[in-house]
Amino acid sequence: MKSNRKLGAVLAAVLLIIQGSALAERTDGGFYTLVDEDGRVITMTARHLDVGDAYIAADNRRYEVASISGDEVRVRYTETITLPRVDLEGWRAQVVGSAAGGERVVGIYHTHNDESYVPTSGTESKADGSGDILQVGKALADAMERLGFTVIWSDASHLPHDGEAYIRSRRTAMAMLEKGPVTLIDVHRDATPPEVYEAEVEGQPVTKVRIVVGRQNQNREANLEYAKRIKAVADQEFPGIIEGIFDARGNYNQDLGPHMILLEFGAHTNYMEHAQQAAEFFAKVIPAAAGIAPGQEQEAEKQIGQPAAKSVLWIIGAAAAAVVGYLALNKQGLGSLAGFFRREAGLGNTSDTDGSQESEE
Amino acid sequence: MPAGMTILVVAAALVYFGVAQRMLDKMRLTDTQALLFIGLMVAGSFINIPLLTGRTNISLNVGGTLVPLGIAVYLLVTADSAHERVRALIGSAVTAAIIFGIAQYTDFDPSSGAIIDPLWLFSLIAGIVGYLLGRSRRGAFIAGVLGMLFADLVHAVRAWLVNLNTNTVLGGAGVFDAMVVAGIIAVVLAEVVGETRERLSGGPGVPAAPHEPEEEESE
Repeated sequence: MKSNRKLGAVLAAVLLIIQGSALAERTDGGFYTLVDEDGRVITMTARHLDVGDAYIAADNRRYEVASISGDEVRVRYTETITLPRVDLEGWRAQVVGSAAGGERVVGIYHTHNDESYVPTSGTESKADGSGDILQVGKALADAMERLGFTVIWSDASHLPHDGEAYIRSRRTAMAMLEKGPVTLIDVHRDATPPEVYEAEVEGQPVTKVRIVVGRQNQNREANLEYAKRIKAVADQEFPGIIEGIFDARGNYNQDLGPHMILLEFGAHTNYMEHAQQAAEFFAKVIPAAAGIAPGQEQEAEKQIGQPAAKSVLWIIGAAAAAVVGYLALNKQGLGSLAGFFRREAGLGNTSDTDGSQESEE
Repeated sequence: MPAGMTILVVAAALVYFGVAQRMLDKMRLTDTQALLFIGLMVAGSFINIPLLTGRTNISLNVGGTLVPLGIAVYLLVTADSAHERVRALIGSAVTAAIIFGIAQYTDFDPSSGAIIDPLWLFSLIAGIVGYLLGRSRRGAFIAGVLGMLFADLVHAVRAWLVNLNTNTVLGGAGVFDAMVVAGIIAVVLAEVVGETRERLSGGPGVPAAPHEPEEEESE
Protein backbone atom coordinates (compact mmCIF):
# COMPACT_ATOMS: atom_id res chain seq x y z
CA MET A 1 0.00 0.00 0.00
CA LYS A 2 2.83 2.32 0.91
CA SER A 3 4.43 1.63 -2.43
CA ASN A 4 1.17 2.28 -4.25
CA ARG A 5 0.81 5.63 -2.53
CA LYS A 6 4.34 6.56 -3.55
CA LEU A 7 3.71 5.57 -7.12
CA GLY A 8 0.52 7.58 -7.12
CA ALA A 9 2.41 10.61 -5.85
CA VAL A 10 5.03 10.20 -8.57
CA LEU A 11 2.42 9.84 -11.28
CA ALA A 12 0.67 12.95 -9.99
CA ALA A 13 3.97 14.87 -10.07
CA VAL A 14 4.67 13.70 -13.62
CA LEU A 15 1.20 14.74 -14.71
CA LEU A 16 1.77 18.16 -13.17
CA ILE A 17 4.99 18.54 -15.14
CA ILE A 18 3.28 17.51 -18.34
CA GLN A 19 0.31 19.72 -17.65
CA GLY A 20 2.73 22.58 -17.20
CA SER A 21 4.18 21.71 -20.58
CA ALA A 22 1.19 20.90 -22.70
CA LEU A 23 -1.29 23.37 -21.36
CA ALA A 24 1.35 26.02 -21.89
CA GLU A 25 0.56 25.98 -25.59
CA ARG A 26 -2.43 28.09 -26.62
CA THR A 27 -5.10 26.24 -28.49
CA ASP A 28 -7.63 29.07 -28.75
CA GLY A 29 -5.98 30.71 -31.76
CA GLY A 30 -4.89 33.61 -29.61
CA PHE A 31 -1.39 34.83 -28.98
CA TYR A 32 0.64 36.83 -26.54
CA THR A 33 2.12 40.23 -27.16
CA LEU A 34 5.47 41.04 -25.61
CA VAL A 35 5.55 44.65 -24.45
CA ASP A 36 8.54 46.45 -22.98
CA GLU A 37 8.69 49.00 -20.15
CA ASP A 38 7.84 51.84 -22.55
CA GLY A 39 4.78 50.09 -23.95
CA ARG A 40 6.46 49.11 -27.24
CA VAL A 41 5.44 45.82 -28.85
CA ILE A 42 8.54 43.62 -29.13
CA THR A 43 7.06 40.54 -30.76
CA MET A 44 4.12 38.15 -30.62
CA THR A 45 4.03 34.47 -29.91
CA ALA A 46 1.58 31.66 -29.33
CA ARG A 47 3.97 30.19 -26.85
CA HIS A 48 3.30 30.59 -23.16
CA LEU A 49 6.21 32.29 -21.51
CA ASP A 50 7.44 32.16 -17.96
CA VAL A 51 9.03 34.89 -15.90
CA GLY A 52 12.77 34.78 -16.58
CA ASP A 53 12.56 33.50 -20.18
CA ALA A 54 14.87 35.30 -22.61
CA TYR A 55 14.40 36.56 -26.14
CA ILE A 56 16.97 38.22 -28.40
CA ALA A 57 15.13 40.42 -30.87
CA ALA A 58 16.13 41.26 -34.43
CA ASP A 59 17.77 44.48 -33.22
CA ASN A 60 19.96 42.45 -30.82
CA ARG A 61 18.20 43.75 -27.75
CA ARG A 62 17.82 41.04 -25.16
CA TYR A 63 14.67 40.92 -23.06
CA GLU A 64 13.57 38.92 -20.07
CA VAL A 65 9.99 38.23 -19.16
CA ALA A 66 9.11 40.26 -16.04
CA SER A 67 5.39 39.57 -15.62
CA ILE A 68 2.41 38.14 -17.46
CA SER A 69 -1.12 39.52 -17.39
CA GLY A 70 -3.73 38.02 -19.69
CA ASP A 71 -2.47 38.20 -23.28
CA GLU A 72 0.15 40.77 -22.41
CA VAL A 73 3.66 39.73 -21.46
CA ARG A 74 5.70 42.47 -19.86
CA VAL A 75 9.37 42.15 -20.74
CA ARG A 76 12.36 43.91 -19.28
CA TYR A 77 15.26 45.06 -21.44
CA THR A 78 18.51 43.61 -20.08
CA GLU A 79 21.23 44.41 -22.62
CA THR A 80 22.06 44.83 -26.26
CA ILE A 81 24.17 41.88 -27.25
CA THR A 82 27.15 42.29 -29.53
CA LEU A 83 27.22 39.93 -32.45
CA PRO A 84 30.53 38.48 -33.55
CA ARG A 85 32.18 40.29 -36.42
CA VAL A 86 32.19 38.14 -39.53
CA ASP A 87 34.36 39.21 -42.49
CA LEU A 88 32.42 38.31 -45.62
CA GLU A 89 34.51 39.86 -48.39
CA GLY A 90 36.18 36.61 -49.45
CA TRP A 91 32.94 34.66 -49.19
CA ARG A 92 31.03 37.11 -51.38
CA ALA A 93 33.62 36.72 -54.12
CA GLN A 94 33.41 32.93 -53.86
CA VAL A 95 29.61 32.93 -54.01
CA VAL A 96 29.73 34.92 -57.22
CA GLY A 97 32.28 32.48 -58.65
CA SER A 98 30.27 29.48 -57.34
CA ALA A 99 31.79 26.04 -56.60
CA ALA A 100 32.77 27.44 -53.22
CA GLY A 101 31.98 24.48 -51.05
CA GLY A 102 34.40 21.79 -52.06
CA GLU A 103 33.72 18.62 -50.16
CA ARG A 104 32.35 20.15 -46.98
CA VAL A 105 29.19 18.33 -45.93
CA VAL A 106 26.03 19.93 -44.53
CA GLY A 107 23.11 17.91 -43.14
CA ILE A 108 19.43 18.92 -43.18
CA TYR A 109 16.59 16.95 -41.62
CA HIS A 110 13.06 17.46 -40.31
CA THR A 111 11.88 16.25 -36.91
CA HIS A 112 8.32 17.33 -37.75
CA ASN A 113 8.02 16.37 -41.41
CA ASP A 114 4.23 16.90 -41.39
CA GLU A 115 4.46 20.68 -40.80
CA SER A 116 2.78 22.69 -43.55
CA TYR A 117 1.65 26.20 -44.47
CA VAL A 118 -2.10 26.85 -44.48
CA PRO A 119 -2.19 29.60 -47.18
CA THR A 120 -0.35 27.26 -49.57
CA SER A 121 -1.77 23.83 -48.78
CA GLY A 122 -4.90 24.55 -46.79
CA THR A 123 -3.61 22.61 -43.84
CA GLU A 124 -1.05 23.11 -41.12
CA SER A 125 -0.13 19.41 -40.98
CA LYS A 126 -0.12 16.67 -43.60
CA ALA A 127 -0.99 13.34 -42.04
CA ASP A 128 0.89 11.36 -44.69
CA GLY A 129 4.16 12.99 -43.65
CA SER A 130 4.71 14.89 -46.91
CA GLY A 131 4.55 18.28 -45.17
CA ASP A 132 5.45 21.50 -46.98
CA ILE A 133 8.40 21.85 -44.64
CA LEU A 134 10.19 19.17 -46.68
CA GLN A 135 10.08 21.50 -49.69
CA VAL A 136 11.61 24.28 -47.60
CA GLY A 137 14.45 22.00 -46.46
CA LYS A 138 14.90 20.82 -50.04
CA ALA A 139 15.11 24.41 -51.27
CA LEU A 140 17.86 25.06 -48.72
CA ALA A 141 19.67 21.86 -49.73
CA ASP A 142 19.44 22.57 -53.48
CA ALA A 143 20.65 26.14 -53.07
CA MET A 144 23.66 25.01 -51.02
CA GLU A 145 24.48 22.34 -53.59
CA ARG A 146 24.45 24.96 -56.28
CA LEU A 147 27.11 26.75 -54.23
CA GLY A 148 29.20 23.61 -54.39
CA PHE A 149 28.58 22.10 -50.96
CA THR A 150 27.75 18.46 -50.44
CA VAL A 151 24.36 18.32 -48.76
CA ILE A 152 22.76 15.34 -47.10
CA TRP A 153 19.06 16.10 -47.02
CA SER A 154 16.92 13.60 -45.14
CA ASP A 155 13.19 13.38 -45.75
CA ALA A 156 12.93 10.56 -43.18
CA SER A 157 9.49 10.59 -41.59
CA HIS A 158 9.24 10.76 -37.81
CA LEU A 159 5.46 10.56 -37.66
CA PRO A 160 3.37 10.82 -35.65
CA HIS A 161 3.97 14.41 -34.57
CA ASP A 162 4.06 13.48 -30.91
CA GLY A 163 6.34 13.67 -27.91
CA GLU A 164 8.60 10.90 -29.18
CA ALA A 165 9.30 12.56 -32.54
CA TYR A 166 12.54 14.09 -31.21
CA ILE A 167 13.59 10.66 -29.91
CA ARG A 168 13.02 9.21 -33.40
CA SER A 169 14.71 12.11 -35.21
CA ARG A 170 17.67 11.73 -32.87
CA ARG A 171 18.36 8.46 -34.66
CA THR A 172 18.19 10.17 -38.04
CA ALA A 173 20.53 12.88 -36.78
CA MET A 174 22.97 10.30 -35.42
CA ALA A 175 23.03 8.40 -38.72
CA MET A 176 23.70 11.68 -40.56
CA LEU A 177 26.50 12.61 -38.14
CA GLU A 178 28.31 9.43 -39.14
CA LYS A 179 28.80 11.05 -42.56
CA GLY A 180 30.70 13.93 -40.97
CA PRO A 181 28.59 17.04 -41.64
CA VAL A 182 30.07 20.31 -40.44
CA THR A 183 26.62 21.43 -39.36
CA LEU A 184 23.29 19.68 -38.95
CA ILE A 185 20.10 21.71 -39.35
CA ASP A 186 16.63 20.70 -38.17
CA VAL A 187 14.20 22.68 -40.35
CA HIS A 188 10.80 23.58 -38.85
CA ARG A 189 8.09 26.18 -39.09
CA ASP A 190 6.50 28.03 -36.18
CA ALA A 191 2.85 28.52 -35.14
CA THR A 192 2.22 32.25 -34.74
CA PRO A 193 0.16 34.96 -36.43
CA PRO A 194 1.52 35.66 -39.96
CA GLU A 195 2.77 39.19 -39.32
CA VAL A 196 5.40 37.94 -36.88
CA TYR A 197 7.31 36.35 -39.76
CA GLU A 198 6.32 38.44 -42.80
CA ALA A 199 9.18 40.36 -44.41
CA GLU A 200 10.58 41.60 -47.69
CA VAL A 201 14.23 41.03 -48.48
CA GLU A 202 15.92 42.22 -51.67
CA GLY A 203 12.50 43.13 -53.01
CA GLN A 204 11.10 39.64 -52.54
CA PRO A 205 8.53 38.47 -49.99
CA VAL A 206 10.05 36.01 -47.55
CA THR A 207 9.34 34.56 -44.17
CA LYS A 208 11.69 35.56 -41.43
CA VAL A 209 13.75 32.85 -39.75
CA ARG A 210 13.88 32.19 -36.04
CA ILE A 211 16.97 30.47 -34.65
CA VAL A 212 16.38 28.13 -31.73
CA VAL A 213 19.07 27.09 -29.28
CA GLY A 214 18.31 24.43 -26.67
CA ARG A 215 19.53 25.27 -23.18
CA GLN A 216 19.42 21.77 -21.69
CA ASN A 217 22.66 20.38 -23.08
CA GLN A 218 26.39 20.76 -22.73
CA ASN A 219 26.83 22.36 -26.17
CA ARG A 220 24.55 25.30 -25.45
CA GLU A 221 27.31 27.95 -25.29
CA ALA A 222 28.86 26.85 -28.60
CA ASN A 223 25.49 26.55 -30.30
CA LEU A 224 24.42 29.97 -29.01
CA GLU A 225 27.60 31.48 -30.45
CA TYR A 226 26.89 29.67 -33.72
CA ALA A 227 23.37 31.17 -33.66
CA LYS A 228 24.86 34.63 -33.13
CA ARG A 229 27.17 34.09 -36.10
CA ILE A 230 24.19 33.05 -38.23
CA LYS A 231 22.42 36.24 -37.20
CA ALA A 232 25.55 38.34 -37.79
CA VAL A 233 25.97 37.02 -41.34
CA ALA A 234 22.25 37.27 -42.12
CA ASP A 235 22.06 40.84 -40.76
CA GLN A 236 24.91 41.85 -43.08
CA GLU A 237 23.77 40.01 -46.18
CA PHE A 238 19.98 39.93 -45.89
CA PRO A 239 18.89 42.55 -43.35
CA GLY A 240 15.47 41.83 -41.88
CA ILE A 241 15.46 38.08 -42.48
CA ILE A 242 16.09 37.10 -38.86
CA GLU A 243 13.12 37.16 -36.49
CA GLY A 244 15.27 36.56 -33.42
CA ILE A 245 17.11 33.99 -31.37
CA PHE A 246 15.04 31.91 -29.03
CA ASP A 247 17.14 30.62 -26.13
CA ALA A 248 14.68 27.87 -25.31
CA ARG A 249 14.25 25.17 -22.77
CA GLY A 250 14.83 21.76 -24.25
CA ASN A 251 17.59 20.04 -26.10
CA TYR A 252 16.44 19.46 -29.69
CA ASN A 253 19.18 16.86 -30.18
CA GLN A 254 21.76 19.61 -29.82
CA ASP A 255 23.59 17.54 -27.23
CA LEU A 256 24.85 15.48 -30.17
CA GLY A 257 27.24 18.19 -31.33
CA PRO A 258 28.25 21.85 -31.10
CA HIS A 259 27.08 22.73 -34.61
CA MET A 260 23.51 21.51 -34.35
CA ILE A 261 20.85 24.14 -34.88
CA LEU A 262 17.09 24.41 -35.25
CA LEU A 263 15.68 26.92 -37.73
CA GLU A 264 12.03 27.94 -38.03
CA PHE A 265 11.08 29.26 -41.45
CA GLY A 266 7.92 31.27 -40.87
CA ALA A 267 4.72 30.00 -39.30
CA HIS A 268 1.81 27.86 -40.46
CA THR A 269 0.01 31.10 -41.35
CA ASN A 270 2.64 32.13 -43.93
CA TYR A 271 3.15 30.96 -47.52
CA MET A 272 5.46 28.03 -48.23
CA GLU A 273 6.88 29.85 -51.26
CA HIS A 274 8.02 32.70 -49.02
CA ALA A 275 9.71 30.22 -46.70
CA GLN A 276 11.42 28.64 -49.71
CA GLN A 277 12.72 32.04 -50.78
CA ALA A 278 14.07 32.57 -47.27
CA ALA A 279 15.79 29.18 -47.55
CA GLU A 280 17.39 30.25 -50.84
CA PHE A 281 18.88 33.27 -49.08
CA PHE A 282 19.87 31.24 -46.06
CA ALA A 283 22.00 28.95 -48.22
CA LYS A 284 24.46 31.83 -48.42
CA VAL A 285 24.33 32.48 -44.68
CA ILE A 286 25.01 29.04 -43.23
CA PRO A 287 28.44 28.39 -44.86
CA ALA A 288 29.93 31.66 -43.62
CA ALA A 289 28.41 31.24 -40.15
CA ALA A 290 29.52 27.63 -39.76
CA GLY A 291 33.03 28.47 -40.94
CA ILE A 292 32.93 26.22 -43.99
CA ALA A 293 33.07 29.04 -46.50
CA PRO A 294 36.56 29.72 -47.83
CA GLY A 295 38.47 31.99 -45.50
CA GLN A 296 35.97 31.63 -42.67
CA GLU A 297 37.34 28.62 -40.84
CA GLN A 298 39.83 30.30 -38.49
CA GLU A 299 37.46 33.10 -37.57
CA ALA A 300 34.63 30.66 -36.78
CA GLU A 301 37.01 28.43 -34.86
CA LYS A 302 38.05 31.34 -32.68
CA GLN A 303 34.53 32.67 -32.10
CA ILE A 304 32.76 29.36 -31.54
CA GLY A 305 35.75 27.59 -30.03
CA GLN A 306 36.06 29.97 -27.08
CA PRO A 307 32.60 29.33 -25.62
CA ALA A 308 33.14 25.65 -26.41
CA ALA A 309 36.24 25.71 -24.23
CA LYS A 310 34.19 27.43 -21.51
CA SER A 311 31.69 24.58 -21.73
CA VAL A 312 34.52 22.09 -21.23
CA LEU A 313 35.40 23.79 -17.95
CA TRP A 314 31.72 23.67 -17.01
CA ILE A 315 31.57 19.93 -17.77
CA ILE A 316 34.69 19.22 -15.73
CA GLY A 317 33.36 21.34 -12.87
CA ALA A 318 29.97 19.65 -12.96
CA ALA A 319 31.57 16.21 -13.06
CA ALA A 320 33.80 17.08 -10.10
CA ALA A 321 30.85 18.48 -8.15
CA ALA A 322 28.87 15.33 -8.92
CA VAL A 323 31.68 13.10 -7.65
CA VAL A 324 32.06 15.12 -4.45
CA GLY A 325 28.29 15.24 -3.96
CA TYR A 326 27.96 11.53 -4.54
CA LEU A 327 30.75 10.69 -2.12
CA ALA A 328 29.28 13.04 0.47
CA LEU A 329 26.03 11.10 0.20
CA ASN A 330 27.79 7.79 0.13
CA LYS A 331 28.15 5.75 3.28
CA GLN A 332 31.89 6.29 3.24
CA GLY A 333 31.57 10.08 3.02
CA LEU A 334 34.07 12.58 1.65
CA GLY A 335 36.88 10.73 3.33
CA SER A 336 36.74 8.26 0.45
CA LEU A 337 37.61 10.95 -2.14
CA ALA A 338 41.28 9.98 -2.35
CA GLY A 339 40.33 6.32 -2.56
CA PHE A 340 37.85 7.07 -5.32
CA PHE A 341 40.46 8.73 -7.51
CA ARG A 342 43.07 6.07 -6.60
CA ARG A 343 40.64 3.39 -7.74
CA GLU A 344 39.61 5.27 -10.89
CA ALA A 345 43.27 5.73 -11.78
CA GLY A 346 43.80 2.02 -11.26
CA LEU A 347 46.21 2.51 -8.35
CA GLY A 348 45.59 -0.28 -5.93
CA ASN A 349 42.58 -1.52 -4.05
CA THR A 350 40.80 -2.33 -7.30
CA SER A 351 38.54 -5.17 -6.59
CA ASP A 352 36.59 -6.07 -9.71
CA THR A 353 33.03 -6.10 -8.49
CA ASP A 354 31.57 -2.83 -7.60
CA GLY A 355 29.62 -3.61 -4.53
CA SER A 356 32.74 -4.73 -2.80
CA GLN A 357 34.70 -1.80 -4.16
CA GLU A 358 32.34 0.65 -2.57
CA SER A 359 32.53 -1.23 0.69
CA GLU A 360 36.25 -1.22 0.69
CA GLU A 361 36.75 2.52 0.32
CA MET B 1 36.39 20.58 -36.39
CA PRO B 2 37.95 23.46 -34.43
CA ALA B 3 40.10 22.50 -31.45
CA GLY B 4 37.75 24.03 -28.85
CA MET B 5 34.77 22.11 -30.18
CA THR B 6 36.78 18.90 -30.53
CA ILE B 7 37.82 19.16 -26.88
CA LEU B 8 34.19 19.84 -25.93
CA VAL B 9 32.96 16.76 -27.78
CA VAL B 10 35.73 14.56 -26.36
CA ALA B 11 35.22 15.84 -22.79
CA ALA B 12 31.45 15.28 -22.96
CA ALA B 13 31.94 11.79 -24.40
CA LEU B 14 34.51 10.89 -21.71
CA VAL B 15 32.17 12.00 -18.92
CA TYR B 16 29.26 10.11 -20.52
CA PHE B 17 31.24 6.90 -20.97
CA GLY B 18 32.75 7.28 -17.52
CA VAL B 19 29.32 7.60 -15.92
CA ALA B 20 28.01 4.72 -18.06
CA GLN B 21 30.86 2.48 -16.95
CA ARG B 22 30.33 3.37 -13.28
CA MET B 23 26.60 2.73 -13.49
CA LEU B 24 26.91 -0.61 -15.29
CA ASP B 25 29.48 -1.51 -12.72
CA LYS B 26 26.86 -0.84 -10.00
CA MET B 27 24.98 -3.88 -11.19
CA ARG B 28 26.10 -7.45 -11.48
CA LEU B 29 28.90 -6.63 -13.88
CA THR B 30 32.62 -6.45 -13.30
CA ASP B 31 34.66 -3.42 -14.42
CA THR B 32 35.89 -5.40 -17.38
CA GLN B 33 32.40 -6.56 -18.37
CA ALA B 34 31.07 -3.01 -18.08
CA LEU B 35 33.83 -1.70 -20.37
CA LEU B 36 33.23 -4.56 -22.78
CA PHE B 37 29.52 -3.77 -23.00
CA ILE B 38 30.24 -0.09 -23.63
CA GLY B 39 32.67 -1.10 -26.38
CA LEU B 40 30.02 -3.35 -27.88
CA MET B 41 27.44 -0.55 -27.74
CA VAL B 42 29.82 1.83 -29.53
CA ALA B 43 30.77 -0.74 -32.19
CA GLY B 44 27.17 -1.90 -32.58
CA SER B 45 26.03 1.70 -33.12
CA PHE B 46 27.13 1.37 -36.74
CA ILE B 47 25.03 -1.73 -37.45
CA ASN B 48 21.32 -1.54 -38.31
CA ILE B 49 19.21 -4.63 -38.94
CA PRO B 50 16.10 -3.99 -41.08
CA LEU B 51 12.95 -5.51 -39.63
CA LEU B 52 10.27 -4.03 -41.86
CA THR B 53 10.68 -2.06 -45.07
CA GLY B 54 8.24 -0.06 -47.10
CA ARG B 55 6.04 2.78 -46.03
CA THR B 56 6.46 1.85 -42.39
CA ASN B 57 10.18 1.43 -42.07
CA ILE B 58 11.37 -0.29 -38.90
CA SER B 59 14.88 -1.42 -38.11
CA LEU B 60 16.98 -2.22 -35.11
CA ASN B 61 20.36 -0.86 -34.10
CA VAL B 62 22.67 -3.41 -32.52
CA GLY B 63 24.52 -1.00 -30.20
CA GLY B 64 21.43 0.91 -29.13
CA THR B 65 19.06 -2.02 -28.70
CA LEU B 66 20.56 -5.51 -28.66
CA VAL B 67 23.43 -4.77 -26.28
CA PRO B 68 21.43 -2.87 -23.61
CA LEU B 69 18.60 -5.36 -24.06
CA GLY B 70 21.11 -8.16 -23.46
CA ILE B 71 22.24 -6.51 -20.23
CA ALA B 72 18.62 -6.03 -19.09
CA VAL B 73 17.81 -9.67 -19.82
CA TYR B 74 20.96 -10.78 -18.00
CA LEU B 75 19.90 -8.74 -14.97
CA LEU B 76 16.43 -10.24 -15.09
CA VAL B 77 17.76 -13.79 -15.36
CA THR B 78 20.19 -13.29 -12.48
CA ALA B 79 17.61 -11.55 -10.26
CA ASP B 80 17.38 -12.93 -6.74
CA SER B 81 13.73 -13.87 -6.96
CA ALA B 82 10.76 -14.15 -9.30
CA HIS B 83 9.23 -11.32 -7.30
CA GLU B 84 12.11 -9.02 -8.25
CA ARG B 85 11.76 -10.01 -11.91
CA VAL B 86 8.04 -9.28 -11.92
CA ARG B 87 8.54 -5.91 -10.24
CA ALA B 88 11.21 -4.93 -12.78
CA LEU B 89 8.94 -5.91 -15.67
CA ILE B 90 5.97 -4.07 -14.19
CA GLY B 91 8.25 -1.04 -13.73
CA SER B 92 9.18 -1.26 -17.42
CA ALA B 93 5.54 -1.52 -18.49
CA VAL B 94 4.49 1.42 -16.29
CA THR B 95 7.42 3.51 -17.61
CA ALA B 96 6.43 2.70 -21.20
CA ALA B 97 2.80 3.58 -20.49
CA ILE B 98 3.75 6.96 -18.98
CA ILE B 99 6.13 7.77 -21.85
CA PHE B 100 3.47 6.81 -24.37
CA GLY B 101 0.86 8.88 -22.55
CA ILE B 102 3.12 11.94 -22.41
CA ALA B 103 3.98 11.56 -26.09
CA GLN B 104 0.30 11.88 -26.96
CA TYR B 105 -0.03 14.99 -24.88
CA THR B 106 2.79 17.30 -26.05
CA ASP B 107 5.26 17.44 -28.95
CA PHE B 108 8.05 19.20 -26.99
CA ASP B 109 8.41 21.76 -29.77
CA PRO B 110 9.94 25.12 -28.79
CA SER B 111 6.43 26.59 -29.01
CA SER B 112 4.97 23.97 -26.68
CA GLY B 113 6.44 25.61 -23.61
CA ALA B 114 7.65 22.22 -22.38
CA ILE B 115 9.88 22.70 -19.39
CA ILE B 116 12.19 19.77 -19.99
CA ASP B 117 13.48 17.91 -23.02
CA PRO B 118 11.84 14.51 -23.64
CA LEU B 119 15.20 12.75 -23.53
CA TRP B 120 15.80 13.87 -19.96
CA LEU B 121 12.15 13.64 -18.88
CA PHE B 122 11.68 10.05 -20.07
CA SER B 123 14.94 9.05 -18.40
CA LEU B 124 13.88 10.59 -15.08
CA ILE B 125 10.50 8.86 -15.27
CA ALA B 126 12.23 5.53 -15.88
CA GLY B 127 14.50 6.15 -12.89
CA ILE B 128 11.67 7.11 -10.54
CA VAL B 129 9.24 4.38 -11.59
CA GLY B 130 11.96 1.74 -11.91
CA TYR B 131 13.32 2.51 -8.48
CA LEU B 132 9.92 2.70 -6.78
CA LEU B 133 8.63 -0.50 -8.33
CA GLY B 134 11.89 -2.41 -8.75
CA ARG B 135 13.32 -0.98 -5.53
CA SER B 136 16.80 -1.36 -6.88
CA ARG B 137 19.32 0.16 -9.23
CA ARG B 138 18.92 -2.88 -11.43
CA GLY B 139 15.17 -2.29 -11.54
CA ALA B 140 15.80 1.31 -12.58
CA PHE B 141 18.13 0.26 -15.40
CA ILE B 142 15.69 -2.35 -16.65
CA ALA B 143 12.81 0.15 -16.53
CA GLY B 144 14.91 2.67 -18.47
CA VAL B 145 15.94 0.29 -21.23
CA LEU B 146 12.80 -1.83 -21.50
CA GLY B 147 10.47 1.12 -20.83
CA MET B 148 11.88 3.02 -23.82
CA LEU B 149 11.92 -0.16 -25.91
CA PHE B 150 8.31 -1.02 -25.06
CA ALA B 151 7.22 2.56 -25.87
CA ASP B 152 9.05 2.32 -29.20
CA LEU B 153 7.47 -1.06 -29.93
CA VAL B 154 3.99 0.27 -29.20
CA HIS B 155 4.68 3.09 -31.68
CA ALA B 156 6.10 0.65 -34.25
CA VAL B 157 3.13 -1.73 -34.04
CA ARG B 158 0.61 1.12 -34.27
CA ALA B 159 2.48 2.56 -37.26
CA TRP B 160 2.56 -0.85 -38.95
CA LEU B 161 -1.16 -1.45 -38.33
CA VAL B 162 -2.17 1.82 -40.00
CA ASN B 163 0.60 1.70 -42.63
CA LEU B 164 1.97 5.02 -41.36
CA ASN B 165 4.70 6.71 -43.37
CA THR B 166 7.38 6.70 -40.70
CA ASN B 167 10.91 5.70 -40.03
CA THR B 168 11.73 4.02 -36.72
CA VAL B 169 15.18 2.72 -35.91
CA LEU B 170 14.95 1.06 -32.51
CA GLY B 171 17.99 2.27 -30.54
CA GLY B 172 19.13 4.03 -33.72
CA ALA B 173 21.32 6.61 -32.01
CA GLY B 174 23.44 3.73 -30.72
CA VAL B 175 25.26 4.37 -27.49
CA PHE B 176 23.67 7.86 -27.41
CA ASP B 177 20.14 6.57 -27.98
CA ALA B 178 17.33 7.37 -25.56
CA MET B 179 17.20 3.68 -24.62
CA VAL B 180 20.80 3.71 -23.33
CA VAL B 181 20.65 7.24 -21.92
CA ALA B 182 17.42 6.41 -20.06
CA GLY B 183 18.97 3.26 -18.58
CA ILE B 184 22.04 5.13 -17.37
CA ILE B 185 20.23 8.20 -16.01
CA ALA B 186 17.71 5.94 -14.28
CA VAL B 187 20.53 4.18 -12.42
CA VAL B 188 22.18 7.51 -11.55
CA LEU B 189 18.88 8.70 -10.10
CA ALA B 190 18.29 5.46 -8.23
CA GLU B 191 21.86 5.59 -6.97
CA VAL B 192 21.48 9.13 -5.62
CA VAL B 193 18.07 8.39 -4.09
CA GLY B 194 19.27 5.07 -2.69
CA GLU B 195 22.41 6.52 -1.18
CA THR B 196 20.48 9.44 0.29
CA ARG B 197 17.92 7.15 1.90
CA GLU B 198 20.59 4.82 3.21
CA ARG B 199 22.53 7.77 4.57
CA LEU B 200 19.42 9.23 6.23
CA SER B 201 18.37 5.92 7.72
CA GLY B 202 21.72 4.61 8.82
CA GLY B 203 24.31 7.33 8.54
CA PRO B 204 27.83 7.00 7.21
CA GLY B 205 28.73 4.24 9.55
CA VAL B 206 26.32 1.72 8.10
CA PRO B 207 28.25 -1.05 6.48
CA ALA B 208 27.53 -1.73 2.82
CA ALA B 209 25.82 -4.88 1.65
CA PRO B 210 28.30 -7.62 0.87
CA HIS B 211 27.55 -7.86 -2.85
CA GLU B 212 26.09 -4.52 -3.91
CA PRO B 213 24.38 -1.64 -2.19
CA GLU B 214 20.86 -2.69 -3.08
CA GLU B 215 18.01 -2.15 -0.72
CA GLU B 216 14.68 -3.77 -0.06
CA GLU B 217 12.02 -1.57 1.36
CA SER B 218 9.99 -2.73 4.27
CA GLU B 219 6.31 -2.28 3.83
